[in-house]
Amino acid sequence: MSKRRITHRRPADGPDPEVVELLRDAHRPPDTPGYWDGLESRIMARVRSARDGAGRAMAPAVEWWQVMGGWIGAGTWAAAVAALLAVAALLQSRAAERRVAFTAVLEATSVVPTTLEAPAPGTPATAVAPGAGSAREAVLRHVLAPR
Amino acid sequence: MSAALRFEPLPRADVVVQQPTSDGESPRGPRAVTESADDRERRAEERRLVRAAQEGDDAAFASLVRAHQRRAYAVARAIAANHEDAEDAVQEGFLHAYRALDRFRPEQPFGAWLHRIVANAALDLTRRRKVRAAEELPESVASPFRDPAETSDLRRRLTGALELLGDRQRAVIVLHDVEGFKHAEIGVMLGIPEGTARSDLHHARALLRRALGAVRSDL
Repeated sequence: MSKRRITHRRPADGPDPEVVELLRDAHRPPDTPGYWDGLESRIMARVRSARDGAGRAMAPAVEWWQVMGGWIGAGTWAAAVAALLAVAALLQSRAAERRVAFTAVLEATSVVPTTLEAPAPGTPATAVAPGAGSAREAVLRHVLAPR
Repeated sequence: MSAALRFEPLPRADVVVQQPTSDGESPRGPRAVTESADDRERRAEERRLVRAAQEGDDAAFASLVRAHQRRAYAVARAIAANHEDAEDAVQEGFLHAYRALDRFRPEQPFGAWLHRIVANAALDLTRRRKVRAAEELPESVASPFRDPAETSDLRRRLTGALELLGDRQRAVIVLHDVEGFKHAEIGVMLGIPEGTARSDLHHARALLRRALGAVRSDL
């Protein structure tokens, strides 16, 4: 042993072959038969598992704007139809209001007397209203009648 | 180790040990061999496998695993404290590499890229183990894997001497002197400057030489 130490020459800071050999032995990979095939199988099993898991997780990972983008066409048509319907409803509503107002004016002229016929002397003055009068109209006529 | 297990894409560090310079690195460098036709063919085949794997070919990725797992294990084993952690780091490393494969450019050397990923996985694992060891009681059940370093008295003492080294210094000396990586490669793998790797190597060698010098004189 001592003879080997004396004859052993190496650079001052170089690697010590004996230490290197010990380190190599200490870090030697397993040499069991089939070990590397088994390790490869385990690695590939993890890879497949990760890929399948990622595939399941990644498939529905669509951003919200992509979802909204798909609905832009349908949404535009729906909005246009809704706007048309709204305009039509508004026009119809205005026409109905106009018709009701016109009718109301016509009915009002027929119900509420605007002129009173001059009563004949000795007869009570009455407002002339065509058609059937209601109690309200009768009251009105009575109130408005000159005394 | 059987001949079948000796397939490595890159040469080992034996040349460095036999023909050291003042800093222990071969003048040509451990990898500074001129690229032969076989090397070119192997690189072309590797690029083809990488491209196929990027397109989803599992068999191609399995071929890459087969070609690189031993070297990846060596990197992980240099950093991790034991065989089990090294194996976990290798598996994690390949998994990370698979996930990041789309971002890898096939014209780059796959091995260097993979080694960096495996080294990161091993460093992460080592950090997590340390945190857990600090929080838990030491395990009473022995590991089924018997560390070869415990098979002789000198090796047992080497294990003790290695414990005197910091994790990084141990990783650097194993990666350089045993696995034949260059300082720059080690720096990239461990995320440290090349000069730090060089300095770590110097201190690790000196410490082991001192520690084992006493052991040798006892034997």
